[in-house]
This record gives sequence, structure tokens and C-alpha cells, in this order.
Amino acid sequence: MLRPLLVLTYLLAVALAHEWQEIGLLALLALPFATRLRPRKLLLAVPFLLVALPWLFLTPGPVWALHITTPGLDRFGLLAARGLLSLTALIWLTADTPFNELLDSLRRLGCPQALTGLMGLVYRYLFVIQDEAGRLLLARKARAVGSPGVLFQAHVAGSMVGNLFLRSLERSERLYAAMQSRGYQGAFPCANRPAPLRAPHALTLVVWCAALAGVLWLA
Amino acid sequence: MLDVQDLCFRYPDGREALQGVTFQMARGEKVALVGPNGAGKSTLILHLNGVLQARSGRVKLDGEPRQTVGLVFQDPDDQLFCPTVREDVAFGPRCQKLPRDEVDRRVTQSLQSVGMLDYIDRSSPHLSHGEKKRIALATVLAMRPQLLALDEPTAGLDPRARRELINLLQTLDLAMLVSTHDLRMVSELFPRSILLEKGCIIADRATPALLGDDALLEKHGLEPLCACYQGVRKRPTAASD
Amino acid sequence: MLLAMHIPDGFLTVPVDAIGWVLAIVAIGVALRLTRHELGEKQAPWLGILAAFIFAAQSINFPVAAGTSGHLLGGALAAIVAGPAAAVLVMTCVIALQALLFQDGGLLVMGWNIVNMGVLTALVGSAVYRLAPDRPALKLAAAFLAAWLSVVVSSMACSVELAASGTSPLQLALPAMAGVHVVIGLGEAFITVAFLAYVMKVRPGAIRDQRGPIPALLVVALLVALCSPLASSSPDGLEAVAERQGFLPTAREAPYSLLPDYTIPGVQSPVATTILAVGLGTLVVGALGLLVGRALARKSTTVS
Repeated sequence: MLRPLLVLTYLLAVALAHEWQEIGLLALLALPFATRLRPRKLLLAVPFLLVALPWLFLTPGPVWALHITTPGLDRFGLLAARGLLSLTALIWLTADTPFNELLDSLRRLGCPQALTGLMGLVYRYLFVIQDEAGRLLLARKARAVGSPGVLFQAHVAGSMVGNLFLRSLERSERLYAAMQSRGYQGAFPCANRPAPLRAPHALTLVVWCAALAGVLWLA
Repeated sequence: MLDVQDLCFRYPDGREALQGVTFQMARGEKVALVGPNGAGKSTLILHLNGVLQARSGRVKLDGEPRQTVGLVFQDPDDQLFCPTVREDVAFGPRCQKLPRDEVDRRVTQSLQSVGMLDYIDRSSPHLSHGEKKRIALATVLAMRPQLLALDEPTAGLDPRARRELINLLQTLDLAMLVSTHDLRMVSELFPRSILLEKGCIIADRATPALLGDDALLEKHGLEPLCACYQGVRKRPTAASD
Repeated sequence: MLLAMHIPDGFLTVPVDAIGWVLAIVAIGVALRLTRHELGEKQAPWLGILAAFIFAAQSINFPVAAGTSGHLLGGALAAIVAGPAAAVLVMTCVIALQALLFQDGGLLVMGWNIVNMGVLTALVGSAVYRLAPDRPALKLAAAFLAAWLSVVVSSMACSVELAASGTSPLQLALPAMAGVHVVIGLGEAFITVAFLAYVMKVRPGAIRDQRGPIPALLVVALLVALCSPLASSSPDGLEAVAERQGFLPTAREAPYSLLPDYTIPGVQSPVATTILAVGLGTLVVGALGLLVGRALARKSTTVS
């Protein structure tokens, strides 16, 4: 519970930061987790940096080089830094927290039981159905000879998705039978009752928020 | 304890799955259900606790069906649907609206009885097939059933996991109805066997008598045990008629 | 390029984030109520498996050209097989898990990611699909168009949010995002239509019959609401400020030469041009969908 809240407040602080000093202080806080960054994850932000690229030229001010203005560089740099820091925080949250704890936190943040129960089910069957999809892909690879046209490939992919769907349909029937046979009547009792927020946790949270507020106010 | 009378069931697509199935089971009795694929074994098992409703005929049980009959499905992935083992085993008792400490006690007890207590906080996707099978068994044991109905318990298990499961089933003092193709397990565990084909009971005998009848087994698409042992390859004379 | 629409944190401002969450929460709440009414006890097992299926289906790709591959987003597909309300919940789960497990998309912006990729795709997809008369060729054509349009609308919404946060000028973001997704959407359309043809042939009863004009009307209203501020000649607030301060025209040449020229003679604003182009594209893709639908319907002879 503690870590999701810390990360949410951190993300909020990053989103609110508009000065380089603020970004710098926040970056210091994120430094211990920066080792977790992977290039593939950074790639995810590239399309959004691309559409932000025009500000390099469009922001008015003295030209730095190649039509790029100094304030434009500043603006683009801040955006990129915010994206990077947010991603670092998200990776810290998701890579080191077991999914069940994340679900617990969601419950405590007021997410309806119907939705958290559903997400628990999805998480459980994600790997099962992904395995099935993997076997389908492998079977396709084992038979694919030559290079057929794009339309044919799309047709094959669509049929595979269809195949996967019908199997999933059958699985949902079996799952429903399995749930019914253990007394399921529509409500999802699958959740652990969330443990109450302990005083040290609450205290850490308060201190952390105060520190963040202080950083933002100083900067 | 269990009284099945003239059970008939037809699937929505028109397939006749059960055509007048009648048999009784006494308290604590262990019965094997054998027969080729598509004979109606799984369909019959799904009727025992009311997941499927028969078109005609009836299933009579001492007590509330869902609490009396524990159903263990063939694919444990269908049965273990919660993120962690603990939640999965607790699902049944919680649906029964038992008090919290009783739920916890049952979770511990049933996991202990299948030898998986150490796995209580593990998550199901990362377990082996054999481990999943045993936890699936624990999820129904936690509901304190009078009768266990298992669908192909040894299918897909490697020899060691199969042996462990058989030994485990031997320790459980419950009535059992087990559908299976594993005739060696049948001969070892079950005093009585029912042979089902095309939704009808063909034979209901003591296991040695049924498994000794090679002609009957071959006629209904099963392989006599001696053939498995000696590696003798016989062509089935008539798998179906 | 599948992930081009999962907005990460840091690219939208906090007020914009908040609006997204409000919209998403309303949509999820309505969808929860509708599906509980419709599916009852089956809500959790059916939607849970469906979401896991969409997640896995996104990993089934097909090579297009030059190292890129076609993918599925799945919102329209989910809406076609399960109806819009169920699709909203299914996509919400998919998007939330993508962020929480794989960091695809941020947390503060998740509201908008849900609206873009879950709510809009589901509504657009099911509206187009439901409008078609109940004949296999026409349903397939509608699925083709529904999948394409859902991706394009979703990407346009995404660019509007980026512009509203000042991350990107709308005049560039909208044509760029829409332009890329007009092509990506075709991949989505082809997979979706092939999927539907397969299911219609193998298990005709698997897809429940859905009709009814209400979601269609809702979507039309929504799209009009979305497009009207864009189509109007006055740019949105942020750019109005930029223009008032007189710096938009100063460095016009450099950025505009970065992108293909979308301007149609007689239409000045690239935003209006994009909307016009997408409208025309809808007609073209609809016609293409009719051809594909007829070919596939003829192939699957078992469809009555």
C-alpha cells in the first residue's frame, strides 16, 4: 500500500514540476532506481517525444542552432525529463511489487471489488492463454515456408485469433462450471481483506509528502 | 449416499450425452468410471453437484449437493482461478459464508492433507502440473465434501507425479467417483468399476471382474491391462458398432 | 507501433489527467452496471477470460513490410464479440495490466488511455458494426470499417489530449497521429475481419446478435462533440495564446517541412484538413471493407 502511494505522489510532483531545479531534486530522489531502466521501456516514449519535437523550433526566443530556439530546447528537455522520471518511478513500482499487493492497494484506493476481482482473473489467465497463443505462433512458424503476401498473412493471423477466441470461449465455460461447483453465486469473495494501514507506514507517507511539498515550494 | 436414477442429458447442439444412467454409491465407497472419450464420463460428473441440470431423471444425495460433492476438473488451470494458492483454497469456504478463522483453518488443513502447505503464498501460474492437481484437490477438500468426483486425475502427469497423486488418493477417507483411462490406477485403488459408453452403463462390476474381461474392454475401446504390461499389440476387434 | 497510443506519464498536465480519470470512471461504472445486468454470474468468468484473450491476441502479429508488423489493439473486436459495455471493462483490464505489469502507459494518464483505447474503440466499433444489416458480407464489411475507424478515432483523441497539455501543437500532432494510424488501422481491420470470418464459419452461434441504434447515436453525438472544437476555425486555447503572442508564424517553415503536406486546396487549417481526410478515408475503407467482406463471405460457405 505504501509504495503505490509514494509512487503516485511522486508522479504527481513530476507532472507539476516546471523548473529545472524541481526536476533536478526529483531526479535525485529517483536516482537509486535508475539502474532499473531498460532501453526497450524508453522506446515507448519515443512517439510522444516525436510529436513534441516541433516545440524545439516553434517556441519563440533566440535561436540556439539549426532553427532550434533556446526556450524550445528548454521546453522539450523538461518534457523528456518528466517522461523519464515518471517511467523510472513506474518501473520501481511495478517491477518490485507483487501483483497481488498492487491489487490490494487498488482495493484500498476504492476500486470496486467487481473490477479488482476481474483483474485478478485476467492476471491468472493471462499466462495460460498467452501460452496457447505461443503454441499457435510456433505451429505457424513450423509450417511457414517462403514469403506469402501480406493479405494472406493477415488472414492467417485473423484465423489464429479466431481459433484462440473459440478456445477461450470454451475455457470461460469450464471456468464458470468450476466456480459454480465451489459455490460461486456472482460475488467475488476471492480477495484477502486488506490489512489496515499501519502507523509507521502512515507516518512515512506523511513525511514523504511533506518532503515533496517542501521541494516544490523551495524550487 | 448417492443415488442416480435414470439420468438423461442432451447438449444444446443435440448430442445425447447421457441416456438413462442409474447407479448407487455407499458412504466411503471408491468407484472408477471408465470408458472411451465422449462416453459421457465428464458430463455425468458435472451432474453430481448441479453444474449441469439433467433433462430427466434425478441425482439424490444426503445433504446440499455443492457441499457434499467436491468436483476436481481435468485441467487444474480451470479450477485454480485466483492469484494465489491461499485465495484459491479459501474460495469455496468463503462462498459458503464461513467465519474467517474457520476459513483459515480449513485452508491450512486441506493444504496440509495434500502436502502443499509450503505453497500457500505461491501464485498458481508458476506451479508444475502435478502441484496444480494437488492444490485443485485441496480447493475442494476445504469444502469438506462427502464425495470426491475427479475427472481424469492422472492425465498429463509424469510417472512420479502420478504415483504421488495415487498415494495421496489412497490416504483420503472419502467416497470417490473417478473418471479415468488409467486402468492400472483403477486396479490399484478402486474395488468397483463402472464402464460407460455412449451415455449408457455397459457394466457395473467389481474391478477384478471388469478388468479381467478382455473381450468386453476391447469391445468398448479400452486396452486390457495385460496388453500394457507385456507390450502385446492386439488390434481391437470392434472398437464400436 | 502498437504502443504508439499508450501515453506514458509526464506528457499530459495534471488537469488534463484528471478529466481523463473522471471520464474513465464514469464509463467503467456504467459498464459494470450494464454487464452485471446482462451477464449476471457469468460476468467475472466470461469477461476475465475475454480480457486475457485480447491480451494474448495482441501478441499474434503478422509481418507487413520493412521489419514492421501488424498488430491488434482489440477494442473493436471485443465490442463486436461482447458488446460495448463488456468491451469497456475488458479493455480497462487490459490497459491497467499493461501499465502495472509491463509499464506500457502511465498511471496518472491511465484514465485517458482507458478512454482512448477502451471506451472510444468500443463505442465506435460497436456502433459501426451494429449499423450494418444482418447479412454476412455486410457484417464483415462493417467489422472491417469498425476496426479501422476505432483505431483512427482513438489516435485522434490521443493527439487532442497531447495538444491540450501543450505537449505538441495540435496542427502537427493531429495530422501526424491520424496519418500514422490510418495505415496501422488497416492492419487492425484485416485481422478483425479475418477473425470474424473464421468464427462465423467455425462456430456461427459464438457471436451474439447485437443490434440497436442507441450506442450508434451516442457515438455520433460523441464524435461531433469531439470534432466541433477542432473543426472550427479558431484554434484551441493554447494555440490561441501562441498566436496572440505572435510566435506561431515566426518559425513556420522548419516544422512543417518535417511532415508530409496534408493541406487540401481551399482548406486552410491542417486540423480541418485531417478531419476531412479521415471522413473521406472512412468512405474509401468502407468500400474496401465491402470488397473484403464479400470475398470472405463467399469463402465461408457455411454461413447462411
